[in-house]
Amino acid sequence: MVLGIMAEVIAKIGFGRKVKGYILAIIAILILWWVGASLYSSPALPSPLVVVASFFSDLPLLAPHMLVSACRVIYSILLALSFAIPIGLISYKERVDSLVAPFIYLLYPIPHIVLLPMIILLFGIGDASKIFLISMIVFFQILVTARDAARNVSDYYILSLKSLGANEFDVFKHVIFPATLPKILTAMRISIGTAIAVLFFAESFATSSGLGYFILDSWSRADYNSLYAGIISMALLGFLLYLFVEFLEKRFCRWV
Amino acid sequence: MIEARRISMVYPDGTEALREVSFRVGKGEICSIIGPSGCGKSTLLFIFSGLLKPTAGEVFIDGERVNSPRKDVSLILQDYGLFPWKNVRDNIAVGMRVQGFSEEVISETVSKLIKKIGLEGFEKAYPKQLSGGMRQRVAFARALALKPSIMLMDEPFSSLDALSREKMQDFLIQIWKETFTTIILVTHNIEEAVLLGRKIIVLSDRPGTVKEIVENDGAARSKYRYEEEYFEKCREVRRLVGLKDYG
Ligand SMILES: Nc1ncnc2c1ncn2[C@@H]1O[C@H](COP(=O)(O)OP(=O)(O)OP(=O)(O)O)[C@@H](O)[C@H]1O
Ligand SMILES: [Mg+2]
Repeated sequence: MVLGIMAEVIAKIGFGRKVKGYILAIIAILILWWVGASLYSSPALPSPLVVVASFFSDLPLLAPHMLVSACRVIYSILLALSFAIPIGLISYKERVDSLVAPFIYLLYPIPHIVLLPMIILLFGIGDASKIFLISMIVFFQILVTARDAARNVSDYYILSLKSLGANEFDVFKHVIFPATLPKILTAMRISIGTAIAVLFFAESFATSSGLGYFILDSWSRADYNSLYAGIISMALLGFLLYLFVEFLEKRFCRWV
Repeated sequence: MIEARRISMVYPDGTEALREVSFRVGKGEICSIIGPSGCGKSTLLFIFSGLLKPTAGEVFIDGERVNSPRKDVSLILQDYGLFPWKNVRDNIAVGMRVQGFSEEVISETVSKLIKKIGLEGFEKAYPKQLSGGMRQRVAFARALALKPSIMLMDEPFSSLDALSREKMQDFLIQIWKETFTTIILVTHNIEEAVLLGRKIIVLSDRPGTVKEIVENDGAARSKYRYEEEYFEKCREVRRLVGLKDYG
């Protein structure tokens, strides 16, 4: 059933040829899991069949948590992108970069997750601080990639456009942005993984909604079937976001 | 008319690319610039286009000093300068877009040009899907879309095979006859310089200086490449260039 839904989603987005690969991979993972579960035979590692069944029986309960988590992640990523892309790309100008680069070098290596107490003091314990935490981490990942990509755009293309009478904004629109888009999308893919990991962390305290809460709550009640249903939901969330980025890539980076 | 007055160029790293280069190109004339690799030919075109400021000397176009790119001058870069992320249509249109033409005018002009260069059916193709000759024609179309009065071309045919090269040279002659655009064409190739350039500027080794200016009245005639006068000129230019430069 899950397979059916996933296959449908994949097919809709237009990955006809890839579907087979995805299905094979899912089957392989499920078999491995099933073998592992049979060998280990403990309630702490239920078989995939049980988990899938409880995923569907829990669905009415899970869906709102999924929605909350999805919103948090998507908001965070959008917020991060809307700052990271312009700042990163405009660094193709040496003068801007000499301002931006020191900040990146000083602030990027900090494990941002340790700023959590400060963020909570500033933004409270609500959604704002969760979104801020996730987007800050994603922001740096995308910023660093966007900046490097922009600085690697060959002057040749910039000159080629300028010879046609282009101004700085045109250079941005016709050269820097499209030239760096594939790298930005790759960075986004990596960020999705990070964002969901941080999401889990951010939902592990001071909240009663979201998949992270659901997972921890099931865990504390030793309800392993629900625990795994929650884990699957989180994986599914990541997978769907991932597919979306793939879709953007297919749509806008056909030239690569 | 284009006039170069004692242009010298020293790059910030100390490389002296050009020294006191002066010459004039009349309106509607094709001028070939020939010289050994690294003698500053591309540098010279960048200076003409207004993208690069010479360290000394100046360029005048119709009496006006050039200090930034002009709308009536198109530059076709070495290796064409096409954008890999834009399809044929968008590559041709990009010059018109940045100059603020309406989408309607752009669409009409681009369709006409695609027909003219014989790339119907390839509108949606990306540069990497095209042959060298096709890319070259797209670059031409992009320049022509702006109806320039001056075209600067940097080794436009150097990466083409002999056959496509001759075809493109004829295509250029045809376009020139239709538009009488002033053309400055940089080339490595003696035959090409003679075939196309009514005036041939021979540059020396780096730093490039004008070694000789050869007048070549037969240039850009349709059957020029089969005429005795053409072979004669080729021999003359070959002598002037000196085998040493190409050794
Ligand atoms: N941005 C730059 N900074 C420093 N030196 C440069 C720069 N661009 C070109 N040069 C040097 O200036 C000289 C002239 O370069 P240019 O590209 O104009 O030569 P060219 O005649 O076009 O060569 P080719 O025939 O190989 O295209 C070369 O020695 C080159 O290495
Ligand atoms: Mg060159």
